Amino acid sequence: MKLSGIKSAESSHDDSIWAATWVPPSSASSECLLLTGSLDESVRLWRADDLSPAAPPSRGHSLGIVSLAAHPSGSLAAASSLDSLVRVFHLHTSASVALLHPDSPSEAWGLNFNPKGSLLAVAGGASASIKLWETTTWQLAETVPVPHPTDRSQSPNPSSASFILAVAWSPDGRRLACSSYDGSVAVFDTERAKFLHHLSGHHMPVRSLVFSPVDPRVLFTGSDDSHVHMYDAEGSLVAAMSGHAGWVSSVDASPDGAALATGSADRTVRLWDLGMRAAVQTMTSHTDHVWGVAFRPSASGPGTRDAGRLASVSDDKSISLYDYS
Amino acid sequence: MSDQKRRRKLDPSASSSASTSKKPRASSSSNYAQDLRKQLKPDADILSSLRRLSAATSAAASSQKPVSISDLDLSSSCREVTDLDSFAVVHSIERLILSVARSILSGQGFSFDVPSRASSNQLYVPELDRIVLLDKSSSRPFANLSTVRKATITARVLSLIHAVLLRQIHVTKRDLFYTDVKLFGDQNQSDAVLDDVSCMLGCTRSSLHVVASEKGVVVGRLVFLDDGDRIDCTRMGIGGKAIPPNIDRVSGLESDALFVLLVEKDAAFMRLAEDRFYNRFPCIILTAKGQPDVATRLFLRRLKVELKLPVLALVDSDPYGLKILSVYMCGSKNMSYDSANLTCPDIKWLGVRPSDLDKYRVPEQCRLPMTEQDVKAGKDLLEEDFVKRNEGWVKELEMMIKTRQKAEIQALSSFGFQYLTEVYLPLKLQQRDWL
Repeated sequence: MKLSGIKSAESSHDDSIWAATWVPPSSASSECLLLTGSLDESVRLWRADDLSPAAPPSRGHSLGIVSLAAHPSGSLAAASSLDSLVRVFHLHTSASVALLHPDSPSEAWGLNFNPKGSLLAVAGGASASIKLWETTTWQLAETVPVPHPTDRSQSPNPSSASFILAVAWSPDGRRLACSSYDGSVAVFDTERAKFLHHLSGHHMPVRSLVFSPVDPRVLFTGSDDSHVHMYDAEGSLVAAMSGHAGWVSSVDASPDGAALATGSADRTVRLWDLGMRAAVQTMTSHTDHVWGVAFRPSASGPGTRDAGRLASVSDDKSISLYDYS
Repeated sequence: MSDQKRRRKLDPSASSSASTSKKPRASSSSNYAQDLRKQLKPDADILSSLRRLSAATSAAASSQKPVSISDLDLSSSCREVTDLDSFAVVHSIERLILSVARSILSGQGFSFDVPSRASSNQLYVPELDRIVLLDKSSSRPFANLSTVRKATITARVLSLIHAVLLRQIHVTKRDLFYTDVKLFGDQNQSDAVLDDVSCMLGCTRSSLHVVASEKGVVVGRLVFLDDGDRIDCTRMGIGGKAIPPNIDRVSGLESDALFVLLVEKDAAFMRLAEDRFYNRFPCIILTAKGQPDVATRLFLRRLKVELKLPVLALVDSDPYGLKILSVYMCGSKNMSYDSANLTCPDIKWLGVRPSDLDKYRVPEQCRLPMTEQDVKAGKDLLEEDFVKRNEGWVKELEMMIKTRQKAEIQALSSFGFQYLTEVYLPLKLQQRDWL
């Protein structure tokens, strides 16, 4: 497996780009588009092959975009910003559909739609909970509290509640995992909205986590301790992969389930072969902290091996596109 | 503005912790700490209680006859080393080499009989309150591939020591290493062989005229003669006098101190020296700046034996502080053969103890969480004999392990930099709060 760089678009935004996600094909567009969100408070849509803008920049977010998620139907997207609001909008018309307010500031961070598209999970930040919103009515369906990990003596500041940074859904929609600033990862059963257990291993913030698209039990996490962990979501650590020299800010699994891409503060994007559990390639096209990596979802569904594509975004305002094969 | 946003992105939990403001709690604990100041009685009272302590200690010391190993009826014979003068050492080296030559001439090759310094060969003797070496030894033959290198190094070291002793000079361990770098390879090798040689000959390392470089410092009410020069430790500035590595050059100790204060860290030592703590409460302040070295331990023992002063220790509230205390009290595993001269029994633990953290209401931000290693070290310490004998220490260690918190002496600085010298120590001395 390898990555080969296709294109790098400099200055695609006016400021650091912090979030990237692919939008599945929809009625408006037959191919996947790339959505990026930046500190310059805009969200832009790009075509997959040449990174040309597919729509004018969408504004309406204040203070910069922390996280983006695209609805499986391809027509909607949700963006959370530093002002703690989550804005849901139509991708092609850029019209706002809903503005989700948390109860108090700093209570929205990472977000993700569930595979069916019926719920939007928002990592609740300082509220130490996950908020689940119904996507039809945009009402708050549930607030799932995230308990503290029991072994508090290991965490750097035991007296502060853990700040929930990111959420991920398993491909079958049955498990929801969230990661927090103190390194703990909590796994929930979604049918009953019940907390199952913590996955321990990291003691520094885990900013990104993703389930494997082919195996609903495998979860990947990337942490500020520069390691990437592979967990069995039912409870244990399977492997720890090292190689990055700085925080691992973003992890994404390839649609065929054989590779993992990670973006890091050491300005590199690494491709990891999950069979060998080692990094097979390091891409150094960025000149600053890589905040997001995203594999384009496969057109024929997970588990297949078509020509894949990986996008990475960075503090250097550029988007890099790679062919994955 | 974008900088603030970036900071928020990197550390989203930062502002949320500030909102749960800890400030009121911190100031209330520091108020309590300052209130303790009011409990201090005038200095004269504290001094009189100290005088009673030092009188008790000197009475106990003079009534105790020094016990030696031969007095005790030990099942296996133990090895002890004594200070020999240079001629005796030269003679024993020459005797050893003569026996080697004889065995070569009789066609049997030669081998050195080296006492084993492994932990299986060490025994803690409660009556003497220190660790001694049993008599297991291993042979190091020249004709054996696995030990030929060590045997060569041993022979070389013996010849070097012989040369040094004949000229009546002193060398450091590094000096010895550099005389034949190619043979020794690594300084650890020559150091290990040096310890083996001193065990074999039955003498202390300083009687081999090999000295360590200076590490510890002393300040306070002490006057002594260092190789003929008169040193007044009250006038040694803030840095203090470096403890001479060669203890036999030290003589004529005179002091009007009431106790010896043993400090673990250089930072606390500097604080005490700068505030001239020894003028307010007459004492001698000693530090080895971390792990105690041989020179400091020799000096401390000298002070205790000649001046018969009580020794109070100021270490961090973590298992390593207590470990350092244990090295002063019962010796280290490396130098166990020389424990007679290096140990100083009956050191009292003045601070900082785990119970002090609550008593003085040290704020949460100064209390560090203990790592798994620290907890394991603490549990290992609980198994040690010298800890088990002292009930108070056992309780303190158990409290430390239970709360899983440790703190340094510097934690007291959160109440003010001079809190240590102005409130903490005087209050401890007044309340006779040592274990």
